Amino acid sequence: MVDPATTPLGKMLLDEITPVVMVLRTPLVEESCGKNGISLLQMLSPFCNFSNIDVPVRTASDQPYRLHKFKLRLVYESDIRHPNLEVAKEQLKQVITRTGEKELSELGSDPTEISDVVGRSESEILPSWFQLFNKELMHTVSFSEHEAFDHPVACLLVVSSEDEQPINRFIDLFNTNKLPSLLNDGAMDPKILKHYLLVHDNQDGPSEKASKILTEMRSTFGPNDCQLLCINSSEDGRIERQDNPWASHKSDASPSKHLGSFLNNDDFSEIKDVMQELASKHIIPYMEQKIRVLNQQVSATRKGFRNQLKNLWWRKGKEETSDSPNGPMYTFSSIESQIRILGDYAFMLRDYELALSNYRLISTDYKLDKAWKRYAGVQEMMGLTYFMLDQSRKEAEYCMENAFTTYAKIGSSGQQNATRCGLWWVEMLKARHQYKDAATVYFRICGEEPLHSAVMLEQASYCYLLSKPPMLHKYGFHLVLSGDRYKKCDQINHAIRTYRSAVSVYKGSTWSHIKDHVHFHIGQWYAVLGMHDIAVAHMLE
Amino acid sequence: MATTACFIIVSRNEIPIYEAEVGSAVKREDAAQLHQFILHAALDIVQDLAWTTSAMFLKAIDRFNDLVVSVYVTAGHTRFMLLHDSRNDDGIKSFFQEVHELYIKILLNPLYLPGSRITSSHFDTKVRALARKYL
Repeated sequence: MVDPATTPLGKMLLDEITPVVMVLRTPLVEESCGKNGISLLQMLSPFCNFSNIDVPVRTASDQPYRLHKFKLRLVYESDIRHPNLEVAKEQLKQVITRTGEKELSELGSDPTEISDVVGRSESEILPSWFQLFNKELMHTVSFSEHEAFDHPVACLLVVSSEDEQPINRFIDLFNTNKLPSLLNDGAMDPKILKHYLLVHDNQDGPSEKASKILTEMRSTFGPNDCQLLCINSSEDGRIERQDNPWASHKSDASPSKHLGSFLNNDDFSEIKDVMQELASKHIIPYMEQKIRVLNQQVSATRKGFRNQLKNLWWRKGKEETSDSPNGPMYTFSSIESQIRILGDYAFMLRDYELALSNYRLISTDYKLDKAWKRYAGVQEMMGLTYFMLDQSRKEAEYCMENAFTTYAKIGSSGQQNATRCGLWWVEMLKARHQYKDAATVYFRICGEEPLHSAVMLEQASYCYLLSKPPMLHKYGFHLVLSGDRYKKCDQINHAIRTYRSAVSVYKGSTWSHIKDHVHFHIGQWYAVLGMHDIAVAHMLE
Repeated sequence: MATTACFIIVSRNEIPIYEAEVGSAVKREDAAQLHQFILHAALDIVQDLAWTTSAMFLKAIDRFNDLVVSVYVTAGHTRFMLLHDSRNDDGIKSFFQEVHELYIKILLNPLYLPGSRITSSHFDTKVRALARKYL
């Protein structure tokens, strides 16, 4: 049996469902980093991916286990909010248009034979931009209140040594007015772990001043939570790196720019050490501790037969609660939210058994309270946990199906969540080679948005192709459907691309209407693009 | 009661030998193309299903939005495929059986090459009459 962590879904989850660290910084810090052509976040992010952190972790049970792979997500506080849907849609459109233009040159060549395509593996035939598209689509629902894995676990406050009165700046940064609404509205506990980082730009002068400030910080905030990071130690600012770790994180980098040109090897290792220490000595122990505390609370109030009976009876008695559209409000201090945090932390620290038992606890509670969005969220996580534990396929699928239908039921606010849930579900099915089911789910994800449904239909068609035996007729049909949708959104390149693959399926068939339709339309579109000779060839068919 | 229905007879090598739009609703231009697409896509499923059961009438094997595809397989693996939006299972079964009888009569014609298109207008009229009766 394939290890779930190595499947595409596993990798996606290990990347996405990781602790969030909120980063608050002063403008001078950004300036110092800006000398290297990157922002603070971009500078630190490559070092947050730990492939061998090797930290012992002991959650609720007494058995410690060692954690090897770990990742932190650093996010600026201004980004910790619901992404703007319109902006996101625009971005997705850009992705598609860009890839469409790239493929333009290929459209002139002959379509491939269908026998070539059958039997190839998934990675060879799927267009590579599907992954990017799916990821962006999933990000449109980040930082929601009903899920705790996006809530920041810790806060990194960064001040430059050149700032005046650095101690006060640290306190100011955590000013509640500018903090994200997640912390202010009571959806999560504002008392999170704080870590103080003083950044000293070596270009500005020697570091004695910085060390003095550091000692002051240590006396104010505690000796363990403060660190000093000296950057820009290179004298002439022309360090070139063979393996530029920042390039992959900067999406719009021009290749000629030298990123990180002021950071020499010492800086490199210093940044690495700072992040490593943050993760292994602060964040992981803090999460462990929180899990233990919450677990004790939960056991006392919820586990055990008597407690369960009490809870069930009390809930059923609460019939008269008003039916607000989002369900009853849960603040972070309510026991349900605590259990959800417990579950999510356990998931992030890879203790899937603990996560599962907690999710099960609150699942029935949310259902009885008719808090549908939260119920769907928990069902989603349960499905994912079953997958990571590699147990009970049917349960996992049942949970995902449940989550999907519930999200769809609650109307427009759940639409994007339903999409994300569907995408995870599909990856799960694909990892288990259940391609036919995956294709039907893709079909269900198609909403009203024509561009997204075009991409989903295309992905569905590839699933049909990958199923054994390959369902070529369905493949062709879905390609044609998606081509039509692409055309509706004016993405002619993509429409032609899908129809080209469809042509090879229908070659040699005698279903006249179908062939006419495909050839006529593809001829028309080639003509729009100006490739007239190919257009005419198709029209003659 | 307006229904959409499209009836196609497909030979064993997937060549359509007869097609007719037999619904009583008003037809749109592209409806015929869409129906062909749906029926063609359902062929995959028919292939697999035909070998698993010895019954001739395979009920509703596939759906697309609210249209259902029902299939009846003859002994020579000629498939009668009907695309419809109604739920009249018994009517559809009787329709298929009567069309099967008509088809056998066509096959008995020594001048008819099995697997070629059915061009008899007599057959056409009778099929449409049956459709009006049962669907």
